[in-house]
Amino acid sequence: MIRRLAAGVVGLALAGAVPVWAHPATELYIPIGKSPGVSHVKTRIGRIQSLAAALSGLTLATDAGPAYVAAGRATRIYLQFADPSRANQLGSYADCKQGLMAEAFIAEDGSVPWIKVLVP
Amino acid sequence: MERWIPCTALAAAALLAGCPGPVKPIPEDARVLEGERLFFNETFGGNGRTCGTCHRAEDNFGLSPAFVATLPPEDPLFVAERVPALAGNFESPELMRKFALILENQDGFDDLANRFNMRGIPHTLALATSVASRNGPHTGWGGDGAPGDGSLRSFAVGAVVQHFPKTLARAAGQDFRLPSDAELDALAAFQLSLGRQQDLVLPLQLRGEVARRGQAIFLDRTLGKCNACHFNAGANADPAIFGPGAGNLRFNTGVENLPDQPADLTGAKNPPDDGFGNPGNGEFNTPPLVESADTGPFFHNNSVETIEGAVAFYNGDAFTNSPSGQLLIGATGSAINLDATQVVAVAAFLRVINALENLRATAALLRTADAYTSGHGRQPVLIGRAAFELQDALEVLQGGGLHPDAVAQVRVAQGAVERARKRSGRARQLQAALDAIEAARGRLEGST
Repeated sequence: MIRRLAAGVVGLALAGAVPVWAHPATELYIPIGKSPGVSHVKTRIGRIQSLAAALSGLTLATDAGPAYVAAGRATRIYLQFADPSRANQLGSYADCKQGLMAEAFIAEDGSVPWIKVLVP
Repeated sequence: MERWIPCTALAAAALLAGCPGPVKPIPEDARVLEGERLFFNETFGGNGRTCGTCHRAEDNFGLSPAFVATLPPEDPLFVAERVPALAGNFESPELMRKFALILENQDGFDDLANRFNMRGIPHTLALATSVASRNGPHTGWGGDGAPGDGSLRSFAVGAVVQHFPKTLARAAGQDFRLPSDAELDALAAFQLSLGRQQDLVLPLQLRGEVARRGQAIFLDRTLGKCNACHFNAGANADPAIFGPGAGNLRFNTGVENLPDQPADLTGAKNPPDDGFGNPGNGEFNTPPLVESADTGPFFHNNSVETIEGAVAFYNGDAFTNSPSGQLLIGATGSAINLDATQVVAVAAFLRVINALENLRATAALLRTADAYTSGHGRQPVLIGRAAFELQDALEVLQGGGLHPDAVAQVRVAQGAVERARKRSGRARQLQAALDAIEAARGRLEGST
């Protein structure tokens, strides 16, 4: 019985292998550089140096040098506004403009769960 | 000499009044104590709520409808009823008042009027045993409550953003402030210190026939089948089935498909909850069962009021037709099909292990209180918390008609704790309470 159940749960276990953060909604409201346990550890922060639109990619000019980030279909773009009276909102790759400050979270598997962009 | 006499008189008077004896070192971890202070007092510049607004020490660090009914209108829990900026789409006052349900936007904040879920408030007990999983930390009901690295430490940030803001703009620095790294460390340390620090090892030598039978059904892989996902009545999966280190797992057990859910019967807006992820996969974290009997209502949506009903859930169509139910049928050849006496027996087992945990926690709290210098301000806090645990033990056993002999001993302990609260011979009363707790425990468990 254990063997049958174990075989059955393989599918469940694989289904459950979604990264634990899986886009917690509150990340939207956490400013650039302030994401707990992630910012400065698993993120790259810098101004957008260049864009590779065909690949949904961008290069950040970080303190450690250029960092290329490829946004995927599941990547969330979070917009943070310089005007503090404007509420943060979801954006798209089109909101990533050269020269804007951004933070990209690069997960261990290389995926990019989110990119935060500071909009003037 | 003139000075000596009054000093002696003062000392004698102090002794009679039960004044402090020798100063003892603080027996609790400083970071845990700081975390506790933050948990109950820090509003993070928000709307007045603290972590303790919803995770009440008096209510097992959760919140039940019965407790909500005791709160005054000015309690920060009801901030949406008083603050115009939070009047719409921040809470559902009717569902909060009737069912202790809290509004969550775990699938996003872009359509506040329609995209939300109403969830109960999970207790924060035994987190040290339940947060870890093969896929990383599992927090909250859905496993995705924490931003950042998804850890329990980060969970507090998500809670501040979701539940503490002054306005729905949720602007950091204006509507709330983010906890500092040191505050997150302290909050996590405090939460991890609460409740059990390790899982039970079943089977226990239970004295009651019904609870003993319930334990056997619980462990029986062809009957109750409970132990597969609630290994040792905890929150982790059986490593023999799910592999070593599986830890806490998420399952879609079909709770959302229950008919006639109380919150739905009100007619209040209550969108279906899709669980983990966005879009969700219908899965929710496995909760620990040792703490279950006194932390109802049950499941993520507070849809079942009694522990007996929660056990019976696994007999019904909602579970049987769920992905988890179908998996269990495929693996074992049959659905869970317990008769009424068996349902009650499993519930009796859960009641007894919950009462045992309440007694363990009470004893630990009283011993810590006793380790403080007599008269220290921490003593009433700990003794008060012990009193809540004792009351839970009493209610959990009485609610199932179980172990009147143990209930009698719990009452003896309650009397001693009450006297200790009033500081009449505190050390002696604490010892009397501990003796009665041990006697109660001996009525529930141990070799005959």
